Amino acid sequence: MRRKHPVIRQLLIDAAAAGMALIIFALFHHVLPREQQSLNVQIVNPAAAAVNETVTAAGTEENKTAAAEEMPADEAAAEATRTAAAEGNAFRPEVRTATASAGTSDAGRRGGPGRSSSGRQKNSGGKDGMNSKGGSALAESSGSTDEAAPETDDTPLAEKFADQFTETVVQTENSYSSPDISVTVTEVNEGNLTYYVADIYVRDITCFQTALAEGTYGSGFRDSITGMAALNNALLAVNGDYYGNTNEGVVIRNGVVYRANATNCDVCVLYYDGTMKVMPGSSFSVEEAVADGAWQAWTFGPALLDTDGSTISSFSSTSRIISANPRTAIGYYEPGHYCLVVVDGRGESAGITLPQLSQLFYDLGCTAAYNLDGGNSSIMVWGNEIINNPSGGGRESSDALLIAEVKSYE
Amino acid sequence: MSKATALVSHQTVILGMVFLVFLVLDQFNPMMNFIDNQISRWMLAAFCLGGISLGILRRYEKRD
Repeated sequence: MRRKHPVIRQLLIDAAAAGMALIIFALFHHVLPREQQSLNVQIVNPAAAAVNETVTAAGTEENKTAAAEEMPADEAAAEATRTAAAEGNAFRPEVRTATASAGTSDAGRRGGPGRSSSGRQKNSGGKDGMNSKGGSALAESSGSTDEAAPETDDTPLAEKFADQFTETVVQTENSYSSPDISVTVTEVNEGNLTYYVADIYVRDITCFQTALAEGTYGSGFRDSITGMAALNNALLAVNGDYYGNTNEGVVIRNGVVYRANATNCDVCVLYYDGTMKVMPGSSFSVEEAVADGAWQAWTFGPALLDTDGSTISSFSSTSRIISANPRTAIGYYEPGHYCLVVVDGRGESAGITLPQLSQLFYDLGCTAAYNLDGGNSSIMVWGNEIINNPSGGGRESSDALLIAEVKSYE
Repeated sequence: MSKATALVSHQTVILGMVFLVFLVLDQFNPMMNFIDNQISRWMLAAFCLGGISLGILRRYEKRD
């Protein structure tokens, strides 16, 4: 028998060896946790840098006056921050005028961004539409932290979204508002499709955070989204771009550049000034991102809306990727106003194709939108509970997007 | 067939199978970057070298 089929026997041995090679490859490429070499460049908020310069200049001038000598440095800095905020430097919505104006012009056509955007949803669940299985932890603690409203700076966003923020913490099953954050989570059921929309307003972009699994940058590190949310006291969390799957791509997290190897994948950059830009990998420049004050950057994609905010019907990806799947994506209306969408799939909910997801963000009124890791990774955590139905029970991820308070309102 | 030819033949078949698996996986999840990562590049180089060596060895053996 052996002599009759020597070639088959040899091929079987080769196949076994190939299997072993694949297992070893998977261990090194994906499974074994190992820290990666990181650029570790801290990006400075350009507005804060401008404020510091103002403080330095003011300090030099004030040295000539006796009054300035009496003013402590931190007080001077706080005063300069207030001045800068009042002058519109702390948040600069006018900086990305191209994006912002596109949104404004679209707003006329589609009803405009802001709270009214929820009225433009195909099926705006609103508070009534929210499935009560999520947010119970928040609901239980409702009213417990609404004392001693802090003194707030009047940033342009605070004025712009004044009706979204509250002086005290106000929590319901599906919403949360404070002086810095406003989040409303809506579950939408449309036939065999279920998705969750978190409408987010932040007065301070540092409330829009990301977390790395095990707090470490590298490959093979994984943690549950609930774990990362709990560790960072997040109100809301969704999975990120699973950066740890590869050594390529742009990774900027909470103002730190970890990796800047742009690929041909689209890159999504969120800046300190609250603007969000989605660009092809070939257009990304880390020097430019640092100079412009990038706060977060993800590499997954693709972009879900065109540069003018219109839908995209054709994607250059494989049919398996384009077809109906569970999805996680981020949408941008204007500086300070975003949405996170998680679509259930491969179960009672069929999932959504990329062109349908593009249409969904268009209908929501977003001016830019970006697809994040999907499939079994798609998870939304609200009030420390997973509120969607992750495909296959979900899986751990290497990173998460979080909405969390940076100030204490206890 | 010399031992060298036999060894390179095995290497080429094994790496060919590995890359076929990578191609299939890449269809499911291109973001995993199975084909264009550092380890795969070294494997691809070994695959190419194996293919070239096998070709040269076979031609050399044929001439003998």
